[in-house]
Amino acid sequence: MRKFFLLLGIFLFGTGDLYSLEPDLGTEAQREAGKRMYMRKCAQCHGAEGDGGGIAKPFFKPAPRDFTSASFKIRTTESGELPTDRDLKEIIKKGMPYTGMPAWGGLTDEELSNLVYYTKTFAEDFADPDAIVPPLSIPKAPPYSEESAGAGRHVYEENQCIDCHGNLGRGDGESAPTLEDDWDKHIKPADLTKRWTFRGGSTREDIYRTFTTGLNGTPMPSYADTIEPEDRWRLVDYVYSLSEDEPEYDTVVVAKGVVGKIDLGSAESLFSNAKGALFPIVGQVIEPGREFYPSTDAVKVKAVYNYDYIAVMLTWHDMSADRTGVNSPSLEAPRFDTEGESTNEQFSDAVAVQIPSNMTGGSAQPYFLFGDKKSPIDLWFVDLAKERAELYVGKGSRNVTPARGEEPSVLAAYEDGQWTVIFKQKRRGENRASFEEGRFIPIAFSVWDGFNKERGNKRGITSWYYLYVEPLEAKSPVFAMLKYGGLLFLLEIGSIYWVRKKHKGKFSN
Amino acid sequence: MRLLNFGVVFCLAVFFSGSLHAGSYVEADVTDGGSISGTVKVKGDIPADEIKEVKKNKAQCGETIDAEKYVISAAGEVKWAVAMLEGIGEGKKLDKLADVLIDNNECRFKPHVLVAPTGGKLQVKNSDPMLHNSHFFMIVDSKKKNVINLALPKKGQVIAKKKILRKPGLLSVECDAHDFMQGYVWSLPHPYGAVTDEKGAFKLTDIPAGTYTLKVWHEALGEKTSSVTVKPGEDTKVMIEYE
Repeated sequence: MRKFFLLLGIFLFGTGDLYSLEPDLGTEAQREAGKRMYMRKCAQCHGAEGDGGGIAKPFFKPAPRDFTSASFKIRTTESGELPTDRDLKEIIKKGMPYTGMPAWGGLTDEELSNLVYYTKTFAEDFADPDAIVPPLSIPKAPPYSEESAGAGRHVYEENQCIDCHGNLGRGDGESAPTLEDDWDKHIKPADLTKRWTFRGGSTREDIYRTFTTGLNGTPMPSYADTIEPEDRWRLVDYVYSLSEDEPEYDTVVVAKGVVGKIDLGSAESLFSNAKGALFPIVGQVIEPGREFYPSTDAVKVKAVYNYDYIAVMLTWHDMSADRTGVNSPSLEAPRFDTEGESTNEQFSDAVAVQIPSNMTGGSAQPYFLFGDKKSPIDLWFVDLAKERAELYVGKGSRNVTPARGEEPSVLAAYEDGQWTVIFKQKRRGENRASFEEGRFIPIAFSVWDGFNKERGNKRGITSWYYLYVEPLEAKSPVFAMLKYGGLLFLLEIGSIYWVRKKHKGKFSN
Repeated sequence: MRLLNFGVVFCLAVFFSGSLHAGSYVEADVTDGGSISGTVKVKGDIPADEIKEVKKNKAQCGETIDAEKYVISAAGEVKWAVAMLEGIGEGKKLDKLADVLIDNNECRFKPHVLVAPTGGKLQVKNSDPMLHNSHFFMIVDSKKKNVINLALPKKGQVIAKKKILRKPGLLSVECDAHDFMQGYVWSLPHPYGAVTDEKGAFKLTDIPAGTYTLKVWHEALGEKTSSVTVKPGEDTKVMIEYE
């Protein structure tokens, strides 16, 4: 009998105008425990009031979530609906890649539950029975196949994913510069060629969920009513086929020797034998003018040289080519540039390569942020609004001045969400950096995204990496490395032997 | 037996909770109702409509579009205002099955302003050959609250959603792919709401006799409320003027 009424109740729940589930707000004790943890671990960013207005807010892009909005990106529920408790727990546990939200993997399930109960107190919606909805079922992924990925390209085009995510998925669609989140701040569409940056995770199920549910608070809509499940898996496989699981970062770029002229006009064949090296880009957060979330997250580098010249090719993804406005390595950026909207008019995109001006001073590298007084750096800089390279000498972040000497020549192109910039410079110059065969030359990069108002010290940077000038007779660098490694090993053995001999008998068991 | 009673009460409570949430409007036969005919006007200077730049899909949508924010005649008659009876508790049937449709057409939401029944289904259409997304927000205390975001990549596609009209109130509809597009939907839990035409005119009919609060809303001019008495079989004329 009791069962009958229960079933009847469920039946009515299910068939009423609104499917209702009971809100679960936890007990007073659970919310209290959650609050204590929230104040310790979450309030700095999400704010004591849960409105996303914590003290750290100005440093984040995207901004910390405003819980009072009840709008959550990563959910298993329909577009516009509240997340389930499980959704909230999962996102706390996993964090959101490439945002300020870390993974709180160390919390127990009970702690997560308490946090969720407290988080839900910030929005009344969680107490409204009409607002609580069941999750959609995300089917188990069928096996991945190349055919499916190929067919997915058609789904990608048919559903005009290109409009925001771009032809090759680099996040450079026509609408990309005008997209705003629910707080009227510009928001970048995901670069689909880098699935490790996906906020909601990078498994095929995660991708399926994202375009089924949409991302609340963002322009990403739900395709639940538009794409059939079979086509959705094809689209998943297409997106999946655009990238690896993780980026493979390098530490050395090998400059290949070429015989004959280095002609920037035939760049494609020029660099065809050069192996690309990928270097991660991070924000410059030490000197005033900090950029905590630069637009660029990696730069790919190739290099070739002949007797007189070296050419370095840089490629990186950029949502838009910003060719208006100005940029320079010494342009003043405010201490914290937090106000004002993104724009693509005020500042132009720019890029720079830095090499120690003088390599005779031993192995000590100049300071990685534009060098220092003792060890200056050469800076090959190009403001992409001008497409003319400039040569600077850097003796520190606030001491970058035009240098004497021949400026490198440059070739720049933007296509399908990617900048390609090639610098060509003499291998030897008076008081300038030189590129001798067989040497490992420290090299570092800076990228400025004008749209993100990056200029001067507000920029994306790499730390020092190496450019190896591979000798033309194609001596393997392995040999050189082994030689130095072997020498170092012998030296160490020698010094250990010496120390032991010297102190022999001083210490005994 | 006690268990049975409990079960019945429980089930009834569950059953009604859904309909009660949508507002406390009670449907009844209105035999001797009156009507309200009104005109919405602006006094003095007539603001010009805003012209918005079309940033993409110019071939389909033209170089610029009118925002339809101030569609006001030379005589000051205001189009796209909404007149509604606030808090009316009883009256004629609310047709929740009525066809209410908002169309993405040449980069405009057509109609620009729409009245739709709470609890009904709103149909969202794309008549353009390119991607639109219809992103609905409820305006609560002049803040936007996300309701649903529908992708409409295909020409001729129609998506019908109950969810949009789940609650009464003002909805803003935007297209993230075309940030210059803007529309409004008033979700009303009763049938006494109307959008003004080119002459600034509206008419609400079959209203049970009584005194009501008439609210007029306009996206830019704001809200105006006034008290109106409806007499059986009579048409009450009102004039709403924005200063």
